[in-house]
Amino acid sequence: MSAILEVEELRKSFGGIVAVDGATFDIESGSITGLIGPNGAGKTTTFNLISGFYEPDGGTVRYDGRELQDLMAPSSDERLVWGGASGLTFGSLGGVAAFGLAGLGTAASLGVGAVGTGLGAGLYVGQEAAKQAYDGHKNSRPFMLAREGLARTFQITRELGDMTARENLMLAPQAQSGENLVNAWLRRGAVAREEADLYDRATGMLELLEIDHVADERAGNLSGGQRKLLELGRVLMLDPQLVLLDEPVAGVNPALTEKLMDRIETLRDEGYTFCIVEHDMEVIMNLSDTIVVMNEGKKLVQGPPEEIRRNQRVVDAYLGVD
Amino acid sequence: MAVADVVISFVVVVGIYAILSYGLTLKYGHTGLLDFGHVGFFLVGAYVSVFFVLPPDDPGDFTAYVAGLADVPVVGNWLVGIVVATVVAGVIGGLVALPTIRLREDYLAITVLGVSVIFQRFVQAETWFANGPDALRGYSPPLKGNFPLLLNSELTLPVVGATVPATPTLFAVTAAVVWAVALAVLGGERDPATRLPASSLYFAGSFGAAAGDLGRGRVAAVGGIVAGTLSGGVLLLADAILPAGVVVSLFVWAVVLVVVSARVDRLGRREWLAGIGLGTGLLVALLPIPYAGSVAVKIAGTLALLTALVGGFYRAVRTREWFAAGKLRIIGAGSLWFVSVWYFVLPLVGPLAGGDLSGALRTLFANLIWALAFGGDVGVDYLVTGLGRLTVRVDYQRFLLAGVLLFMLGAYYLLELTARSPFGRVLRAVRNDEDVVRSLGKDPFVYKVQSMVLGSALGGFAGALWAMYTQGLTFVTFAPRVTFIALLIVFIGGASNNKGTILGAAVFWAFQQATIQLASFFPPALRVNVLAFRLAAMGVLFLVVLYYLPDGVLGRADYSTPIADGTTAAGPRDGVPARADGGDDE
Amino acid sequence: MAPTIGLPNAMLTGLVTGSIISLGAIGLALVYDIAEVPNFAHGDLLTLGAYAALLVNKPGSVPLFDVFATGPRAVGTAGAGIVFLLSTAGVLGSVYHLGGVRALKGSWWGIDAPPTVGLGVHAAVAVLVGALVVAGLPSYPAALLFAVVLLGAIVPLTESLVYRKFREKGVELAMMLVVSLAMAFVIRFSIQTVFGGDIRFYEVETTVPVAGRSVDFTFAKFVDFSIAGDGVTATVLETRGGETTQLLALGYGWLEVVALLVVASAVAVAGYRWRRGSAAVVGPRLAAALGSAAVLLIGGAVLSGGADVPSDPLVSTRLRTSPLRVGIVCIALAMMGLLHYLLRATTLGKAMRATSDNRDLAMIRGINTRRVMMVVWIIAGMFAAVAGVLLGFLFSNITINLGFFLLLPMFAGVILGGISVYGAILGSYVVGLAMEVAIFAVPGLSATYRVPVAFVVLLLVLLIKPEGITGGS
Repeated sequence: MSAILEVEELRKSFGGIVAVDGATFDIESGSITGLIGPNGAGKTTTFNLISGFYEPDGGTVRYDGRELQDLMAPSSDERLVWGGASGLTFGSLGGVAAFGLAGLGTAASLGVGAVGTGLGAGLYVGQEAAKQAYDGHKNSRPFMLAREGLARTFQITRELGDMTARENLMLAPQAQSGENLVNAWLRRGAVAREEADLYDRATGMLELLEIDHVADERAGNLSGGQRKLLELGRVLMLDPQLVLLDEPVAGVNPALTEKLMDRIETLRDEGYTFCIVEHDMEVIMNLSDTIVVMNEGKKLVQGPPEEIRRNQRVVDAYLGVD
Repeated sequence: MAVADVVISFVVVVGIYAILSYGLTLKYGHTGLLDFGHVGFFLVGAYVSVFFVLPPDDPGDFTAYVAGLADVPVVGNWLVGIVVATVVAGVIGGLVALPTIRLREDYLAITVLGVSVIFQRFVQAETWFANGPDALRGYSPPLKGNFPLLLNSELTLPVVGATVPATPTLFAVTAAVVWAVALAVLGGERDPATRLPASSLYFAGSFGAAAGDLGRGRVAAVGGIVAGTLSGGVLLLADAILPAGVVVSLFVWAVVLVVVSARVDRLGRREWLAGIGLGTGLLVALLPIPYAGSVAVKIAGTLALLTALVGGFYRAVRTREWFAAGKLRIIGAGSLWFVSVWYFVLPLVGPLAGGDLSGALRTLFANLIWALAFGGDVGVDYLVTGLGRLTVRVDYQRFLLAGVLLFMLGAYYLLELTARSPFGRVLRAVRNDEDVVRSLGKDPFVYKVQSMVLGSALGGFAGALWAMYTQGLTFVTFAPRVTFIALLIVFIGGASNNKGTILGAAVFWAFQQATIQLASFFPPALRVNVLAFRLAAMGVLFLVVLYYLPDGVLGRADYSTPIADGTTAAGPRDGVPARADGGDDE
Repeated sequence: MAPTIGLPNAMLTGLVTGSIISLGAIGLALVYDIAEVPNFAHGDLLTLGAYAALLVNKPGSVPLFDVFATGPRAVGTAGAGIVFLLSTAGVLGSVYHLGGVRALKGSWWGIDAPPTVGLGVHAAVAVLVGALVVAGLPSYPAALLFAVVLLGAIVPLTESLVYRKFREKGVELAMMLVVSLAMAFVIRFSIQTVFGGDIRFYEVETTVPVAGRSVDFTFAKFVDFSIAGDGVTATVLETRGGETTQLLALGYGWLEVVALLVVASAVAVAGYRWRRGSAAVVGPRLAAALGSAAVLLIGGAVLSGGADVPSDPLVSTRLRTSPLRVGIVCIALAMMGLLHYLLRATTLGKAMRATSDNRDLAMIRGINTRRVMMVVWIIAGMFAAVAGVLLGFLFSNITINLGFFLLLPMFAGVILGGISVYGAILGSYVVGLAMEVAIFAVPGLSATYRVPVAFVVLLLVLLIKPEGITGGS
C-alpha cells in the first residue's frame, strides 16, 4: 500500500496562536485513518489545511504525489484569462477616462497627451490589479481538490438549507454539462437525460442513507442527524478517492451509526480512502485501520488502534499530563 | 383618453421594469449578489442603443453626442442597437464584477452603487458624450412612422428591402403576440381533468393545435401565428379592422375571465365578500380626493378613511383566523374588484351623470375593445348601431405593447430555463453557502461572474427598451432610485420567484399609476408633495413586505425540476411531476 | 499681481469637505460598527437635520408650521411654545431611549440617585435647552441646537421601530442593507412630502464685529502666502465691490520660521514621549499634535511682525477661504474632541468600545448592550444634525438630495477606515482631500466628479486591501 496523502512539517498559526506546529503523518491508500486528540490539539485546523481551506504557513501536503498548493494553483491558461480580463477592465477604465479628458481638452495636443497618460496608467493599474485579484483568487481554490478526488465534509453541517435534500446531492457530481450556461439553454435534451441519471443516483444515495423519505424536504428543515447523513451523501456523490470526514457520526443515533460504519468499511473495501476526525472513541477505534493522535499542534503517535489504546503518551495527553 | 389606453401604456412600463428587475432577480434572488448599482447597466443599455438610431451629430446645433449611426446601412437600426446594448451592458457587468465580486456583500453593494453613480455623473458631465445634463432626443422608436395605421400605407422591411402593406402586417404581428401570450397564460391554467371551459377555450384558441402532443410554448406559438395570419389576411382583403380587433379583444377577455374564475374557485364565499368589502372600502376611502372641496379635507378625509381601512384589516387579521389565513387572497380579490370597478364602472359615471347614454356606451365599448384605439381624425370610420359613428385606429402603443410583452415573456422563459438547470442549482447553492460549493469542486467565482454578466445584460436590454419607449434620455432618469424600485419589485413578488417579478412590477406600477391619477386632483403647487408622499408610502410598503413577507407575495419557488415545455417532452424521468407552476400562490 | 490659487487651496477646501464628511461618517461608522446596520439612510438624516433647523431659522417657510409664524423669520407665542415643547421633548426623548421611564429617573447615570433628583435634573436640562432655543429664535446657533436635540430623539426611533425588529428576526447583513435603503426612501420623501420641492436656505446674520469693524464671515477672504529671500509673509485680504482691503499682514524672518518649526517638533516629540503607553484621553499622538499646534499658534502670534508684501516673491500661493469654512473645521474638531472624551474617559464610552469589540462578550460581562446601541443612535443623530445644518449653510441651498450626495463619500470614508470611529475620521479626511485635490489637479475633471472621485479612491483601496486601510483581519 502506498500513501495517498503525505503531510510533512505542517504549520499554521492564527494571530500568534500556533494551531498546528509541524505535524507530519501520512494516510495509506485504501485505509481508514482516524485523526484524534484532545480539544485544541489542532485537528480541525489540520483538517482545513489538508482540504485546502486554509493556506499553511509552512510545510507541505502531498496528495497522490503532488503538492496541494500546486494542485490548487491556476493553470497557465487560467492565469492568462485572469490577467487579460483584469487588465482589460482597468485598461478600458483608463481609456474611458483618457477619452473623457481628451474630449474636454481645449488643445488637441493636451487630448493626445491625456489619452496616452490614461492608457498608460490604466495598463499599469490593470496589471497591478490583475496580480492582486489573481493572488486573492488563488487562496480560495480548494474546489480544485474536489475535482482531483479529495473531498471533505464540515464539522458543523453545512447543508444548503433552501434546497431540497435531493438537490443537495444532485449538486455534487463533477463535470455536469448543464452547469455550463450554453448547454443549459441550448442542449436541453442532453442535460435532461443527464439530470435523470443524477436524479436516480441521488435517490439511490438517499435510500442507502435511509433518508429517502425526506428527499423533497428543504434541507434546512431536516434534523441534525439527517443533515449529517446528507452531508456524507453529498461528499460520496463526488465519487472521491480520499474522503475527509469531520465528525461524521456526531448526533446520529446508535443504530444508524452502526450502519454508517458498515457502509464506510464497505466503501473502504471498494478502494476508497477515509480520514476521519471523530470524538466518539468507540467508533474511531472500531473503524480505523490507523490512528493519528495529535496534541498541541503536533503528531503524538501514529499506529493501529490496539497500539494507541495501550500508549501511555496518548493517555497522558488526554488526561492533560505533560 | 380611454382607460384602455392608460392600461396599455401601463403594461408597457410594467414589461420594461419587469425585464430590468429580472436582472436583479438573477443577481440577488438566485445568486445572492446584492447589486445596488443595477441602474448603471440600465443606463448603459439605454445610451448605447440610442447611438445606433441617432443621425450623425450635427456640430452646428445645440445637441452633441459621440456617435450617431442611424445612416450606416445594416448597423443603424433598433435591432442592432438593442443587441449591442445588451451585449455591452453584459460585458461591462462582467468587467465590474471581476474586481468587486470577491468583496464582502455590504462592500460589494456600496462599490457597485458607486460604479453606477460614476456612470451617471459621466453622462452628466461629459457634454460631448450624450448631450451632458440636457436631454438627448432626436430619434424615434422603430416603425413609429407607420402609425396610426392607415389602410393604404406601405412598410419597407428593414433588412429585406421589400415593401409590404403596413396595416395587415403590423396588425397581424400585434394580434399574433397578444394571442400567443393569452394562450400561454391559459395553458398554465388548463387542467384537462376538471376545467372544461378552460380546456375548450384553449383548444379553440389554439386552432386545434392543443390536441396534438405539443408543449405549452409551441401551442401558444402556433395559435398566435394562425391568429396573426388570419387577421392579416382579413385586413388584406377588406378594411375589416373593427371585427378583427373585436375578436382579438374578446378572446383576451375570455382568457382573463377563465383565469380569474379559476382563482375565484379557490376562494371561499366569505373571503370573496371580504375582498369585495376591502376593494369597496378603498374606493370609498379615496372618494374625498376627487370630490372634497378643500385640500385639507381631501388629505385629512382620505388619510382618516385609509387608516380606518388598514386598522380594520389589521384587526380582522388579528381576530379572525380564516381572515389571517387568507389575507393575501382577500387582498387579491379586493384588488380585482377595485380594478374592475375602476376600469368598467368609473369611466361611465361622468357621461351617465350628464345623461349621455350613447357616450357611456361608447366609453364602455372602447374599454372593452382594448386592442383598438378609438377617436381622432385619422383612421377608419364605422357606423355601429347604438353607438353611432366610430373612428378606429391602431396606434403605436398597442404595437409596442406586443413587443414588450414578447420580450418580457422571453426574459421570464430565460430565467426559468436558467433557474431550473444545473447551472441555476449551482447559483442557488452559491447563495446558500459558498464554502460548500467550493468543497464540491465548483468555483463560486465563475458562477457569480456569469450571473453578474447575464443580469447586467438583462438590465441593458431593459435600458434599450426604455430608450425606445421614452424617446428621449436624461441622466436624471438613471438615479439610484431606479435600483431601489427594481429591488422593491423583486422583493414584492418573492426574491427568487420568477413569476413574482412580473407581479411585483405590476403592483408597483399600479400603485404609481393610481397615485399619479389621484395627484391630479390636487392643486398644482401641492403635486410635488403628493408625489413625494407616494414614494414615502412606497418605502413603508417595502418595509412591510420585508418584515411580514420576507419571501414575497408568491413565496419561494421550487426550481428543483426542469422547465416543463414541449422541447423536453421526453420528460425528465418517470414518476416525477414536472411542475410548470413554480410559484405557490396559496 | 495677485498670486494664483494653487494646490494648498485645494487641500484647504479638502479639509473643509473632509470635516463635514467626517461629522456624518462618525455616526455612520458607530452605527455600522456597534448596531451592525450599514445605514443607507444616514445621508437623509443629514437632510432631516438641515430641514429641522428651518423650523427655528425660517419658520415662515415651513409648511403647516407657518400658521404660527408672524413673519418670515418670527413666530408668535404659540409658535415659540411649540418650538420650546419640541426642544424639551427632544432632550427628554433622547434620555427616554436610554431605558424608558427608569432612564428619566436617572438609572443610566451609573450612580444611585434618587428618582426625583434624576427627574428634576432631566427636566431642568430640557427646560434650559428649550429656553435657549426660544431665546435664540431665529438665530443660526439656536437652529443648530434645535436640530441636534430633535434628531437626538428622532434617529433612535428608527432603531427601536425598524432596525431592532429586523435584527430580532435575525436577518442577514444584506437584508439589513435593503432595509436601510427603504428607510432612506421613507425619510427622504417624508421630508419632501412636508416641504415640497422648493429650494430653501438659511438666513444668517453674517457680519460680526471684530476688532472695531464688521467682518462678513461668509465672504471670501484671501490669504496670500509668499516666500521671498528674507522670509515668509502671509496677508489676509478681503475683496468687496472691486476694492481690496488688507485685513492683516504677518511677516516672519527665516530665523523665526526655523525656530518655530524646531520648537514645534521638539514639543511634539516631548508630548509623545510624555504620554507614551498611556491610554488616557490625551494619548501620545494627541499630545504631540496638540502641543505642536499650540506652539505654532502662540509662536506665530507672538513673533509676527507687520510686513510688506514682497514685490518679487520666489513662491506665492493664494488660499481662498472664509471664516465660515475655517469655523466648520473647528466645529468638527471640537465635536470629535467631545466624542473622543466620551469614548475614552466615561463608563459609557468603555461600554461602547467593549460592545464594538464583541457584542456577546460585552453582554456576558453585564454591559447593557441595548442601551449602548441607543446611545450610538443618539450620537449618530446629533452628529448628523450638525453636519446637515453646517452643510445647508455652506451650500446655501437646502434640497432633498443634500445628504444623499454626501452618503457615498461618507461610506467611502467609513470603509476606508475599516468601520471604526477613528478610522472613519481619518478615512473621511482622505476622501475629502482626494475629492478636492483631484478636481483641482486633473485637468478637465469637472466638479460633477467629486463623488466619483471618492469612489475611485474607495475602489482602489478595496482592490488592494479588501478590509480597509486600518482594518485587521
